[in-house]
Amino acid sequence: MTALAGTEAMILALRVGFAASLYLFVAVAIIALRQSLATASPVVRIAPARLLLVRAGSVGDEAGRAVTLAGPSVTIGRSPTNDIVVRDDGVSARHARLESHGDRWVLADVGSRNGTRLNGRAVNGPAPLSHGDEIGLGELLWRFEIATATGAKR
Amino acid sequence: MAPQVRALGTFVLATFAVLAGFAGYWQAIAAPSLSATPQNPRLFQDDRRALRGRILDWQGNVLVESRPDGSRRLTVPSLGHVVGYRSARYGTTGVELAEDAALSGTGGPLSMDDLLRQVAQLPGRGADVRLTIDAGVQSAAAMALGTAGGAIVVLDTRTGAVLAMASNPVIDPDGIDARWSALLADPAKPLVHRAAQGLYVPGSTFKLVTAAAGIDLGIVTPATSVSDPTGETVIDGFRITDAERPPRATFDFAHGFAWSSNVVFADLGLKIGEARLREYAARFGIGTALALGIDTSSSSVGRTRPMSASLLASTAFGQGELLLSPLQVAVVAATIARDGDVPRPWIVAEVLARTDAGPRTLRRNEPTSLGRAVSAQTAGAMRALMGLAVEDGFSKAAAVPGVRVGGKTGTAQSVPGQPDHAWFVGIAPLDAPRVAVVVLREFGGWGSEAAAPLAKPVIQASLQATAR
Amino acid sequence: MVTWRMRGRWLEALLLAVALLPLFLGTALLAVTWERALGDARFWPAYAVATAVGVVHLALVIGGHRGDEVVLPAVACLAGIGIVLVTRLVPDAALRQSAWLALGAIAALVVACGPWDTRRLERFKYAVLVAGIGLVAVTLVAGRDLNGSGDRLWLGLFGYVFQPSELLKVLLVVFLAGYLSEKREVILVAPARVGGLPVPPLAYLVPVVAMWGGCLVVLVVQRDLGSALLFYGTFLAMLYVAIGRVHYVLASLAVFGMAAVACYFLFAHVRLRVEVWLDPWIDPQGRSYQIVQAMYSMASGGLAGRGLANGYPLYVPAAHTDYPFVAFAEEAGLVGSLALLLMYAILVVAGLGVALRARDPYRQLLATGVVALIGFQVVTIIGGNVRLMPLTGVTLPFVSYGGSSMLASWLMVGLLLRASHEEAVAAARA
Repeated sequence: MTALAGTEAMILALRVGFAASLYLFVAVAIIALRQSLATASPVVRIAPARLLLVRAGSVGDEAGRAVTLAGPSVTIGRSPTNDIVVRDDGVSARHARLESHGDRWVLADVGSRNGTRLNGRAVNGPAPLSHGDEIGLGELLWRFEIATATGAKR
Repeated sequence: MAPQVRALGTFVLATFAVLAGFAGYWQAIAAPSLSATPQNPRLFQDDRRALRGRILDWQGNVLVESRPDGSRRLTVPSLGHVVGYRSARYGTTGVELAEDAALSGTGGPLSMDDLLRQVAQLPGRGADVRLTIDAGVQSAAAMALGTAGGAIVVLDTRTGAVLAMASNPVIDPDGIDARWSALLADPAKPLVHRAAQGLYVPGSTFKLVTAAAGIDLGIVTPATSVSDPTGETVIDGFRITDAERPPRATFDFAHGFAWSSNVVFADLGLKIGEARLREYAARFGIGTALALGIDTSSSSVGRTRPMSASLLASTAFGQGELLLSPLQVAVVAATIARDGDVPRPWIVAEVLARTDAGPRTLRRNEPTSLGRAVSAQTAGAMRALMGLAVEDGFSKAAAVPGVRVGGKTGTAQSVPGQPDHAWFVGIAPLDAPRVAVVVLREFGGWGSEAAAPLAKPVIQASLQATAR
Repeated sequence: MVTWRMRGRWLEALLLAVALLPLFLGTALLAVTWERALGDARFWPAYAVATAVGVVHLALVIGGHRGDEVVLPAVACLAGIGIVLVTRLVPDAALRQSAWLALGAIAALVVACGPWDTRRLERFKYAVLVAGIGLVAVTLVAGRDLNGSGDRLWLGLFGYVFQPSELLKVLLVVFLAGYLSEKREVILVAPARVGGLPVPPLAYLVPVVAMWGGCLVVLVVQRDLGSALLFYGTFLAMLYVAIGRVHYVLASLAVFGMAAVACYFLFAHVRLRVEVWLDPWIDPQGRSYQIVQAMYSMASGGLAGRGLANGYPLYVPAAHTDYPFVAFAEEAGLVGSLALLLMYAILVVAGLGVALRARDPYRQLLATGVVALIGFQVVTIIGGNVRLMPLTGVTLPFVSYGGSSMLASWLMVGLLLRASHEEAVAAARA
């Protein structure tokens, strides 16, 4: 180090410091991002639940199909962009949405043509779901099941 | 839409990764060749900014240093050939070339500082190069030579280190580009570094080799009686004459050497024979390039094999096809001075890192031997012969008051119609030699008149420099 | 909508403290290298930037803002590097740059904390569209040519000049977020078939054609290749996120590609850019001088760089606007240029985090659009710098010298903060 005294040593130290500070920020920001991205979805407590197709329509969908709800928001419709894609003609491209709010799930119609039914009644605005509720979309009938409850039953 | 958002994010980040790859390509893989592109303006800037190391003499006096604009300032003009020039167009020579890596600091990391500088891309700070040259002796040599064409070489016989190396005409390395075509066209050929690269007929200075071979082989002793009554002899119809007829008809071999009798040495040469003469010449280093560090030429005994009797005879007294550099002649003298051991001449003493705490040695050269040429007894006898030549021969002009000097003059044929080349080679002090001095004056005439007197101040200066 | 109750944004405070280190260390490095005092007037712009960022943070704290806490530090770090770089390259322009930055920061603050709702933007999307078109029209009529390129890209106002295409970018994202969140379901309806061939729905065709036409106008009339590319790329990204159909995006891309190829043959300036990109050695002293110098510049930086104010980035003409990444790469080395890319990646990921947390489709699309725009802009300019693609005249967000770009970039930061704040408020209420 002897040849790098005075100004040169100072410049070199600052250069190392400058580069180090860039990566220090990168490192700290990545840690922060990991935390904030984690809180973005999965850490929000999602009640373990699933939908079971109890009545199939005339086109393609098979009764007995079970879908685990991986929140925080699950959409149903005919469009392939939905989380749960169905084929029934009576279902709109984007039909309904299930949202996890803490320990419970809420059903909402997202502007379907034929409407969404909960236990036989048309849904207007967000409707909280409980174990065993039946959700009707077009010809399809789904049953909402809380995983722990079903486990207890069996 | 969350999956699409994630996909978009992955796409953008993947593209960033491609950008990083391209940046890495330019800054790591393609960087060396791009940075070396001659049109890159940074090359010029970096060269100006780099702190090229200095070239120092034996005692640390600055011989060459960079000016702020990057050009090099030479403080001792007579060292022009030795330190050499640096030209973007015509290349680099001399010590500037031999030690370029050390001077520019690019020769691989020599120290932690260099490593740090290289990684951090700080302007390279080259190491200093300390030469074995002594600025005082060099100046004495240059002054002795004056404006005459020729060369003076001074060796420290104890180590083989070059104390001085002067050549005339000398070049000024500074701004050589502008003078290049004139230098090339100059009939005096100033670009030739005479001391190390110039090859000349050695004349009677070669009698050192012949006499040493003869004594070493037991063919003659200094006391052997020889005769040269007429100052000439004929061998194979080829007439051989002395430059100056000896004062007596019969005398001992020592005086045959001191009076430089060609007749005596022609006879000796025939007795030694071609093979053994060549072998002894090779032992003294003739025929191999002396690895000085800067460019040198190989001296040579001659290409014709086998030699005719007349060619062998004239080779023995220093004519024939012989071509020796002044440096080679100095090595012959130094070998005699150090009891027959041939020193490797060297000029770079050490490479010094410049640190703020003072210079620090990175590499130090040590004296090395090229082997043995003759026995110590032979070398001792040769020293006596050289002493006689100065005291009672043609080399009197080289005598220095208070010091016993041994020497030999030479007068060598140059080109037809031109005066002879004048030589002198000497060692001092005779009983415990420290220096060997060679003087060559191109077209100077008699060695005893044109060369020997020039040696005197150089011997004095070099003895003073080596007294410490 | 902001509740005026203090809220400790401690993560943001911590990140900001680290994010401003490069600014201060870079300034100190410049000061030592230039042998100037730290208090020298030359470094005031850097301190002004640090102050502006600090003020934004304090205002968010005082305003009880609940938005994302990584976005501002990421932007602050980039802006800090930017002002150091501008100070180093064009010291006389740094003050103006910092003034624009302060203006941008205030604008972002207004957008982030103002008493309004993004729903209003959603409702008035066609007004936004009209404003954007008007801006283009005014530029076409009254635009001025500032850099002598023959392209009239600037608007003069009270002695200041402004590049409307920068503001247009923001308006475009705002409009598209509104349009696509409303129409996405319509677009997704099974296509009608005419003679056996599927015909895309009108709601898809209209914006595609309009965007294509609009970008062509920008490209042909204003000869702004970079902006055209950026507009269309952002549009495609938002279209993809909204409808999730890759083949629609590919079809739109193909249409644009054809237009681009046509431009190559029709316009000499496009052809020139492509030619020197493909082979810079055709004319290194003339047409491709800039790109060749840029290559030398990056190569000279190597791994560790030359150190700030210790290299020769000014051999590259217009380095502070066209080649900021190269200038930084030369003086900070590969170590620095990779860090810069990582910082943009952090900004992108932070923005995507905002989008992912959003439950409202409009805010999700808005955040996505902002991220796509910034991300593509970074790719376009750095890609041009490292010869991944031909160089186009877009700026490096928060780093390049340029006022309009700085203002637009900060506006987008404001939108991100706003969207994440509203989402946080909505989530807390639910």
